[in-house]
Amino acid sequence: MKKALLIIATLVSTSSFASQCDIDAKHLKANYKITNSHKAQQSSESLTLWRNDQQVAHQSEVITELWQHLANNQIRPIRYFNAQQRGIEYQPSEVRGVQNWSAKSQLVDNHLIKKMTLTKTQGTGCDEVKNYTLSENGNDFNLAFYTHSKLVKTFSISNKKSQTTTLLSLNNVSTDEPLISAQFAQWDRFQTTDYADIGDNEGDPFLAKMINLGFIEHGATGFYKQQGEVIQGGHHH
Amino acid sequence: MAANMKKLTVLSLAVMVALAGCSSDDDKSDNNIIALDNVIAVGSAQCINGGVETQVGVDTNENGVLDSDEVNSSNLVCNAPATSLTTEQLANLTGNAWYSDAQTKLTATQQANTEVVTESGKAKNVILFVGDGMGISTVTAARILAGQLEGGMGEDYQLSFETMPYSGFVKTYNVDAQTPDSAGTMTAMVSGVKTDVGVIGVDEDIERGICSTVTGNELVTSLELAEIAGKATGLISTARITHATPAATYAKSAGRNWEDNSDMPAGSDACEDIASQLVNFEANLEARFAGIDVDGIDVVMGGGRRHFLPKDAAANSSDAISTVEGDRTDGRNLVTEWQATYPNGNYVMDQTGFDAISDDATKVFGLFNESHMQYEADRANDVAGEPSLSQMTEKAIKVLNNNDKGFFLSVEAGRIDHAHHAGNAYNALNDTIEFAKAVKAAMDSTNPEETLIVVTADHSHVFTIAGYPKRGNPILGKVVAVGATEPSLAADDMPYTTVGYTNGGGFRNLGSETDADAGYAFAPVTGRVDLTNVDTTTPGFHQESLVPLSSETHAGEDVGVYAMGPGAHLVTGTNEQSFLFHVMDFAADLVKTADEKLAQ
Repeated sequence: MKKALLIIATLVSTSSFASQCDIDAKHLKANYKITNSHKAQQSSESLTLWRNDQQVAHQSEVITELWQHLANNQIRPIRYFNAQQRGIEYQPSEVRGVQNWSAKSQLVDNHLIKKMTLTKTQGTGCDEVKNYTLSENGNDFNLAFYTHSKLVKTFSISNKKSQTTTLLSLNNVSTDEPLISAQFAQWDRFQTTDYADIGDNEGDPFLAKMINLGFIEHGATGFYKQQGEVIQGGHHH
Repeated sequence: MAANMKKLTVLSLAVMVALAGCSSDDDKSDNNIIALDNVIAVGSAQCINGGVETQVGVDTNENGVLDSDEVNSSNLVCNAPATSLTTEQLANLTGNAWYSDAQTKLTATQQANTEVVTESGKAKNVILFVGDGMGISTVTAARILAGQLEGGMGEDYQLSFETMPYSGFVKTYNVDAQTPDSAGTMTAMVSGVKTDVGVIGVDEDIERGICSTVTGNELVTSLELAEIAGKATGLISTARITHATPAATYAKSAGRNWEDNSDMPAGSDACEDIASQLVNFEANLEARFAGIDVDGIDVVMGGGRRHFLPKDAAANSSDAISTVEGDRTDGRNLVTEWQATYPNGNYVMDQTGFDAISDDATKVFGLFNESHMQYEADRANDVAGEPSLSQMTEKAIKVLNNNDKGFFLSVEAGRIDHAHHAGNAYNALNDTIEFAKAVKAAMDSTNPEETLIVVTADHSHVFTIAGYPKRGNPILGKVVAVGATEPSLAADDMPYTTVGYTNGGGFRNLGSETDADAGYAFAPVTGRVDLTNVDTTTPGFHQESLVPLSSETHAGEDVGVYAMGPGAHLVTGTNEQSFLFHVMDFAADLVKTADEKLAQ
């Protein structure tokens, strides 16, 4: 491990090296906890955000969504099934609709952040956190966002009417490049199939079984709705 | 007495007797005998087709009229049924364009039949066009769309291959599958033997996915026979050139997905991946048949570059869509290997390179996309630009024509199938229209007296044309009934589209999205969707489906086959798919010529 930087909300005060921050925001691994509450019921799951230059992955227990940001500004999605070590490759699409790079790499779309109101800025250097709020269509959004690493510290969506709350909270961050490269290389070795070819491979037991597990727009977090669309809580698999 | 007294004739008694039963004429007897012919109207109870009743008697009261009490005998002669109509009676038919057009077609068909060449071996060139997944309903809908795009109502339009003089049906099932796949169907078409689903260029004794079962079960293809016969050979597809349909012309594989070495299961070292077989085609064929000397496939154009390149970003092309374009884990770069084998050949990977190919080129290898080429409607979005199917066809024929022994060319529109799988009729139909343009390019640039062109599909899709839309209703639109201006409503009070799918992902409304595969980003939609405010004619609209599946499926009904040129007359009736190989073989004497070469 060449370099590991732990960013935990409770440790903000320990980062005291002034305004400088040399964190490599393009190569990191960030572990999140997602907590869904509905009235008295509560459930949680984990999500890991991986960044490796022009690739971003959202790793959850069953599925890993990986996006490649291409030179022509298109985004190519690949869906990996962790246990089976198989993947489905989708065609790249232009940055439109659900395909928005900031939504993938930050878990919160820049368009949404722009709509929010900055309430305060805390900390300095790598620990600088900006806090935003937005109330829209009965939903209350609260975001704490690390400025330099462009990582969500906490992000919550609450709806009083439906009594639901979804909270995304950062547990820790690693910038161990060899670890990150190795993980992306491992995914790259998974056997993949073009989605366009699935219809011609009905006899493949994996494809027959796994393709029904989920689809791109129902990604692991549900936090990356774009264009300021109202988010009705995360959709999880 | 009959009412219609037309003619009064007086005959002598002697003559009357002699003429009894016959119509008489203008004779008058000294004994005042009168013969009277009464015309019976058509439709009368006596004679349904009309006739004549002749009455004879003596005009005893000499009033010049044969009164009823003077009739001694009568003879009824009914007309035979009419066997023809008069010009006036036929005017409503002959003056009708449907009628006269059909007469013109009839005359042309009769003429074509008199010109049929029944001898074998008269086709110098053979072109096999395959619309992957282009079932009958796809042809019909594409015909309508093409006509509507040209400003007509559409239903009466003819796609290029629909003008060909011969056509028939093809039974597409695989040996082990009621509804087939492209691997088994194309193997049947180019080798003359039906086989299992999912295998390439091998017979049904193969065990899918088991490398060791390939040896001894390899088939010979029409492309290989043409190559042995000394003809030029070519291969075009808008899918990956290692995909099932094109692969069946040159490869032998226990698995259609063994497109490069990284796709091969463990224990398959004895088998060669499909991309490698394409690049090593010449050497492999010469090794297989001792004594032959072939020069390899002359024109190869399609997608699938990833299967030819090493898994190394340094080998990426300028329009790579992955961070590392190549998939090969054996370190081989098959593009550079091909270039080493054919140092005077042209390797191209984009529109600019394609445009620079000279007509007198000897070898062309075009890999225009990392995976499949773009849908025709989405071609403008290709990173580096790529040619259309019709452009590739036209170019290939120019290059292949350099061989005075003729050529064999296989052309596949591979993405009709993919658009249907994605439940997107817009792209399926537009790719079919482009396919028809490619056929037209071939019809225009070859001599029909020496070129057999066969156009068919490998299988169908669960694509339907339904409801009762009025004539000229947009084929991608909602059903608007005859005489109506607003869409018809189903039992759920919602409008519905004319074209749809029995199964698949169902409704998506992606607007101007021209990539049908974008629809895969969404889970299948179950149930009906209110289309009242949806423009269903946009490129990004995906039709509703009944059974929710993540991918729409093939269908098992027959497909059409169309043909022109020497041997085309054999394309008629309902045939096993393997029959098509035998038509091509008959037309060009492929087996016979190859046998003669091997015997030398």
